[in-house]
Amino acid sequence: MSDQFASTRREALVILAGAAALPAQAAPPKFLTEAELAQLAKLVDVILPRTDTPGAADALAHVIIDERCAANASLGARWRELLGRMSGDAEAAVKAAVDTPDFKLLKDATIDAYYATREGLRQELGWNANTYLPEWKGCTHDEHR
Amino acid sequence: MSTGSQAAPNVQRSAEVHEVIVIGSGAAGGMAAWNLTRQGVNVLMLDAGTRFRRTQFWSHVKPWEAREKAALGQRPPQFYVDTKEQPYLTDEKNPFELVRVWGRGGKTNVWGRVSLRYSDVDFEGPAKDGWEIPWPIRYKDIAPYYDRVEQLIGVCGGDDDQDSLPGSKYHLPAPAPRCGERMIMRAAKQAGVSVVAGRRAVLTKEHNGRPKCHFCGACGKGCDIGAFFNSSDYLIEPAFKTGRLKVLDNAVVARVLVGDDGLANGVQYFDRTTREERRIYAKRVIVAASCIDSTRILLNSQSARYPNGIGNSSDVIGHYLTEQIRFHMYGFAPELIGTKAQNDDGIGGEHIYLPRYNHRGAKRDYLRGFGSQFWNTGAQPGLFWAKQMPGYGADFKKRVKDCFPALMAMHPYGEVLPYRHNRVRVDGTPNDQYGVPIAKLEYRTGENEQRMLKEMYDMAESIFRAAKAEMLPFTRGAIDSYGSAIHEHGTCRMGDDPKRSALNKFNQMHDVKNVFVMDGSSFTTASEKNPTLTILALAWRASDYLAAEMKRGNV
Repeated sequence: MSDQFASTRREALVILAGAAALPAQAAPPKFLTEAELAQLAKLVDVILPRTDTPGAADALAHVIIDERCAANASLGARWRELLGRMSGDAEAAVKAAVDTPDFKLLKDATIDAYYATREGLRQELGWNANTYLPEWKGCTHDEHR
Repeated sequence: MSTGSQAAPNVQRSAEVHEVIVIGSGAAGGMAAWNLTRQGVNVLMLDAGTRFRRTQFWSHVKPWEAREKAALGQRPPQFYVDTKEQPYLTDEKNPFELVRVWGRGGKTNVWGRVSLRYSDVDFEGPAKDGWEIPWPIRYKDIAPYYDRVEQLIGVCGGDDDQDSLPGSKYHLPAPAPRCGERMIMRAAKQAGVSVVAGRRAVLTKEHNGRPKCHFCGACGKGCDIGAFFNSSDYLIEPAFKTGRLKVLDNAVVARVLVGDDGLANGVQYFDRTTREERRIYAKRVIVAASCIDSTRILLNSQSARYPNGIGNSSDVIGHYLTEQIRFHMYGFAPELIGTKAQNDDGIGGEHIYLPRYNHRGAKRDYLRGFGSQFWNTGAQPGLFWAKQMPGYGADFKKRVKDCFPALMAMHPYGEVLPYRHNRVRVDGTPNDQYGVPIAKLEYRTGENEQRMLKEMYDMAESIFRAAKAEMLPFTRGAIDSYGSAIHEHGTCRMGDDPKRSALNKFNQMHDVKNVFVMDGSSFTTASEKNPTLTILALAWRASDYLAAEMKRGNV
């Protein structure tokens, strides 16, 4: 398992280096306006907030959603409608939207984006797979048999 | 024409008459080419794409790295055919999802690798229950070929041997189950259902000089070291070494051509890069372009002699399209909730399998059977399930984290009977960019499947109940979209009766002796199982027969 550990440590260093080199929201939005993107950052953070680990906005989930909008104009239009309705205080807007299609779109997209980032998948969930293992041990717990 | 990695110069309306043309480079086409060339036969293969380079696969690109690479304009090999380039029609009320890979190795580049032997429960089913036509072969006919295929490609599996799922002395070691899979096995046992080691074409140890799996779990992106069977590396590259295989890249076959004697004499194809029409000639034609594309080619191969498509005097070609119904059920193993996530990659896909059991015990009120797969069990990226959990905010985030290592996933597959109304048609459909009619897929399941589905849901629920799992919501009776199993079969079926089947038991057309159809379209029924191992075994058997018939001067 030493290979796996080495890989973990190396990638942790890469993450730190990457975080230093890439300040959040360095690039201008690709589809949304600056104001829309700022509101979206607040909304995704209501869905998955910063706790002892980064939240959705820390992981740039809003930027990822903006990229998807840029690649799909009808999706972009849909988000623009959502942002028109979910303006103002983000916490209150989300609370008011529960059970609406807007809420579902926001929640699903936040989940898709956040849990595919280093922050969401690796740091929050502890996923450290898709690597090279010399052997596969599987479940080694007697109590699971 | 290319041999190995060389580029392909143009081929005009060629004067050369090839010994054998193989249409398609997937499991069936690759096997036919490999087996014929090693027996001294010269083969020209037509591939609708080009070779996918292993060095270009994104096998170890993490999800966030994929985004970063895309931002730089990089992209992985594009395996799947874009419907904008090659459209098909489907019934809006009952849409059928058609997945195609054009390029060397076809779908075997990214296949699920589940490698289950059919048994006589499958081969004898139609003869016993009388639904449509019987299979012309039995397990004893194909068992020696399963042995050979497994030795050639490497299939890991257990030593379990059931009447519905034969074992094999050639299986490579089975990978140990993940924690969640152990719990499924334990729960299934309590529910009275047997769950065994899965069978998968993944090399759990070095095999025939090929490296073993390194357990990165990314098989769906293509394997960068070729540690699972794919037709390009395992069949076509070795066939090149005989010096008897040539491959035409980007050759989109439209029709099989027919001579005055009623035999096939070549194929018409279009160059995918220049859009030019080309014709090449051969003494024998093997059609192996995958079920739907092969069927489309055959139905479009119309002539005065074969007005409804070549070899279709039975009018069965295009009918009896079948695959499997399936659904997905998810729960969380209580013992694993809140534990630390482990590396659950393994060999990609589940390490266990639930074989068919409903042929035992009381007679059911439906025909045929079902089994189950369990992929996604464990800590896997892609948190689709979190969308189905209520709430949001810090508590929700913690709940997702706690559940992440604990996911248990179940995917039962049930056989769909062959129905005449389920079909591929080309009559009255629009043309593609080459002027060739596209396929329309008409497909719906019936009462039999509805009744089977009840027991499938009962079975799945009973296992999750025994596991005391916390369940994700599900709707009883719901099924995944048609076609999503990517197991199309039956539209050019084999049988002993030429009035009710298009092929004989060696995949040879009853009507046109020098045409063989070797892919999933040749199956008489679908069974509940994944078909590729059986496609490989049938293609090996059929190409053995063809080689022998050539030696005898019969074809």
